[in-house]
Amino acid sequence: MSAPGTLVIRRLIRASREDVFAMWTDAGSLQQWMTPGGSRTTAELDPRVGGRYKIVMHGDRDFDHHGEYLIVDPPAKLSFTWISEGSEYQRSIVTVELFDKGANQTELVLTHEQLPPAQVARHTQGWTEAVDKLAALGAST
Amino acid sequence: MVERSAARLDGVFSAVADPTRRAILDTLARGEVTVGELAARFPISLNGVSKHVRVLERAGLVARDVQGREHRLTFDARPLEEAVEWMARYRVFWEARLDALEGLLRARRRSRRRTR
Repeated sequence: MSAPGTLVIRRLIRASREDVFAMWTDAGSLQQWMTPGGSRTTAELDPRVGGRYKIVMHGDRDFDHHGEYLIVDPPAKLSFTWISEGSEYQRSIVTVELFDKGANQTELVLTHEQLPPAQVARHTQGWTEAVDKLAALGAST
Repeated sequence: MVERSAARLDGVFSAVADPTRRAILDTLARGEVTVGELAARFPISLNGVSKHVRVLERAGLVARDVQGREHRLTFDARPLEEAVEWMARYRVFWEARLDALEGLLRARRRSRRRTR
């Protein structure tokens, strides 16, 4: 059971932990996949604890992302703060954990924390439906 | 504009982080009630309920309509929708980025095989 406001994504990837880890810490590699909507991306990374990074995604305009490395433990774990327009300039935390699954396979577990509480997501649908029903009742009277 | 939006999200997150306030919202989602009616349904004082309601009002989740001595409360889901959208956006973002990461590793594996 994860803490409220935590987003977790798991992936099984056909590559060694070392290769997957380098995708996150090598700027030249990261620039090739951190490209939402096919944007050109530039990255400056200083992957050591306390080091900072800056990733700019050049779309219709520039989208800045920046933060600080909290844990750098190759090839097992990388954790950094994530501050961007997308996070409403709030400090969130991204952690990437890599597990050796043998036969050149790696399980990647990405956790994005300090996002909206999970309860919000669980409750909203019900609440929204209730509000819609109320609105419909109001409209029919 | 962005700062105001961030402050609003902060208010929403802290408002729904409390189980009593979530229960109050559940009650209000079923229909409007007065502060007094709300207090009667919860094992806390009228003063305690009022405090929780004020937090929800500040977050924009509850609206208060004062008619004489009666304060009627209604629920507004819109600030919650914004919070959920924020989270959904990041799931889509990371899923797509990990697809790209895998694709790049696959392409490198293929080119390594070719050059061997």
